[in-house]
Amino acid sequence: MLEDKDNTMKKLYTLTLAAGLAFGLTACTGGASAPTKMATVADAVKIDVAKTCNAKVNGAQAVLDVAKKFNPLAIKKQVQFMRFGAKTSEYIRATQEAIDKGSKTASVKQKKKTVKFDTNYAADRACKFAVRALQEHHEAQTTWHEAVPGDKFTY
Amino acid sequence: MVLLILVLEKLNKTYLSKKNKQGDTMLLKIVKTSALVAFAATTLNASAFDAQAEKDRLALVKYMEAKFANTANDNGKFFPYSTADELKKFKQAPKHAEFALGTYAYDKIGKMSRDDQMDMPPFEENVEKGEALYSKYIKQCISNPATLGDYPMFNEKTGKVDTLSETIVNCAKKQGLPGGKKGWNLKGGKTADVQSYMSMMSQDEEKKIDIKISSAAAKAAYEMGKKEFYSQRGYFKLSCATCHVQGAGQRVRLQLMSPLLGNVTHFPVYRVGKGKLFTLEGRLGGCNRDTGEQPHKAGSDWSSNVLYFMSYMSNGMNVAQDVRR
Repeated sequence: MLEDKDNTMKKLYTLTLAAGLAFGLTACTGGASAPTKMATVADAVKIDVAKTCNAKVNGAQAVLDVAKKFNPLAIKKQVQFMRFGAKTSEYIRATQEAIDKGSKTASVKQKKKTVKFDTNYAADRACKFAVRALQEHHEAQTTWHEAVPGDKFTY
Repeated sequence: MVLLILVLEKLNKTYLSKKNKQGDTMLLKIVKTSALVAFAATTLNASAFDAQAEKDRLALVKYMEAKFANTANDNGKFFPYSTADELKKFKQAPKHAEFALGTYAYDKIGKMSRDDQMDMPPFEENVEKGEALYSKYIKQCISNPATLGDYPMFNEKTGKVDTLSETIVNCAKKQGLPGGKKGWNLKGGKTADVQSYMSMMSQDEEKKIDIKISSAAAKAAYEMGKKEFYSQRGYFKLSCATCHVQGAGQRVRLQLMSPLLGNVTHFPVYRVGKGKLFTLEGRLGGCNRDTGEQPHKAGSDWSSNVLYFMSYMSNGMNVAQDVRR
């Protein structure tokens, strides 16, 4: 009788532990994957790059946040910009580092050397590169026909 | 198919003769007709897969011939940024086959310099190295070295395009990358040396570029390559066509840009400025980078499909390894 009671208690403990663990895990992963609005190409297309990517008017951090929002999508679509070996992601990294340090210049690592840019300028470029890559990708879905001899290209 | 019909006729004569001859003859006729219909449908269907590619190729040939037909009197039609003096120096009216020389189809001055170099081609040493590597390691994967013009080819089993560089590197990998990893890459090195030898063998046998599109999947790969070739990209907003279709013959600093037509015939190409050979993948990566975009990896679907499209555009043109600046 006493043995049965012990067994039941053990089962209860195991069940409670398992339930607790499951609840904990669900809470953790649920929190991590809470629905956040993902950037889309359609969102990028609506952006006026000259106005949005202006750090002097909007602030370097706000402009950089736009770059951070859109560049992962540009990478996923395999259209990320790169200049002298410095990808958009490098501009984002260097600009964030400059903002965090309160520095007026951002040090961007290019293929052969590191170049210092005004922080606002680096933020503008990161933002323009991230957004324009997606806008161009969107435009190209239709405009490519215009270059094909025998298709829409006329001469 | 013919074999099947012959076998059926043999069967009819030997085993079915004792039975109801009339009914069996009817059966044989039905089988024969069905077989012929199936054969015709398969043949027609296979040829239909490259129908659009053929249209694209012929339209490109027509455009290139028209563009260079009379550059001396262009008046800004095809060459808005070139002076009349520059355009008079072009070779006038090169024909389709001549575009196998790439830029040298129309760049008379450049061709003179190239002809001097080709008296003693700087890639002769590469051909020798390539022959040794081919005989030792690659022959077991590619039995005939005079087949450079057959690549890239669509692999129906994997559903992907196999470029010559990939085929060579994969073959070397199977043998544990003899001589070390260095050089067995898709962009140049030992891979390019093997290609150099294969190009020479193909030229000796007067082989031409001969790319096949014989399934829906192959057609899809070609179409993807075509779309990417003509799509603008990078912060310069350039497509491959900006330079090599609309821009062919236009000048960037002192260089005349090469035409898509015949562009793949002279690879692996020896670039004098770099002092080494480049495979198609190596050159494509450089072009892709120059548009201001993170270049697609050599061997990626993007790279292989673009090369598949480009190579089809040169179908029927002579393989001819060459030098460039």
